[in-house]
Amino acid sequence: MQEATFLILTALAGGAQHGYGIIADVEEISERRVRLQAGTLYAALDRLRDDGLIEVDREEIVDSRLRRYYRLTPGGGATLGQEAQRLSAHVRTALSRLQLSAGVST
Amino acid sequence: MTDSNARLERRYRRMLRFYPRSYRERHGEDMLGVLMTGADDGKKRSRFSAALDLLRGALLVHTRYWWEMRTAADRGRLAVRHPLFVIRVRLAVALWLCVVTALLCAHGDWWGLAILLFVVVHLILAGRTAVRYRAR
Repeated sequence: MQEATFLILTALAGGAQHGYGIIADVEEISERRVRLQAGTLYAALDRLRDDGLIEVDREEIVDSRLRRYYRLTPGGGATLGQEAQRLSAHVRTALSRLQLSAGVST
Repeated sequence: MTDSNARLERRYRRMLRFYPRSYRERHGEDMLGVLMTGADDGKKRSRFSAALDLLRGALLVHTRYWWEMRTAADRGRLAVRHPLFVIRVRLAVALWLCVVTALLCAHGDWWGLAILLFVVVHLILAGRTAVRYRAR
């Protein structure tokens, strides 16, 4: 799973959000490192929706502009959970090996 | 909305035409909202990168749609491979060939009757598709 996809799903795990909300949330989650733009974001949302990982929550009109809110589907939550587990297992391994090598070298 | 904003929106709208129509209908207005919200606090450079990102997105989407159409075609689910569509095309071709034959014969070119062979082939294939479609 690409990082952008992971971050989008993570943003939606906190509740339904619209496009610009996701961009702002992803920026916060990634500590200002990842700033998604409309082209990339909607290409990802379209794909995630086709894959059944997210779905439309509701639509609102704000300042005569459409805002479509997306939410995670149960399948999307499960996929994100698996990916998070996988990543955290990798992180644990990396940290423990670093500690080991640090222990050997000192 | 200021003049420059209206101009910018027109430019983004033009750029959205790079996307497949179904995608544009699904996401166009929503994307414009995001683009214009981003433009409110954006500098010229970020507008440029937003435009580049739109192109990149269009490329991604076209590639994915094309790929999915291909795999769908493999399973015979592509819209243009839809049985009803196939039958309609075959009937249209058969009809068109009949017209050509009639015109040729009207001019005394009786070899045109050979075209009727193709008409028969198209009708048979259309019939087979119809039988298979009804059997599903």
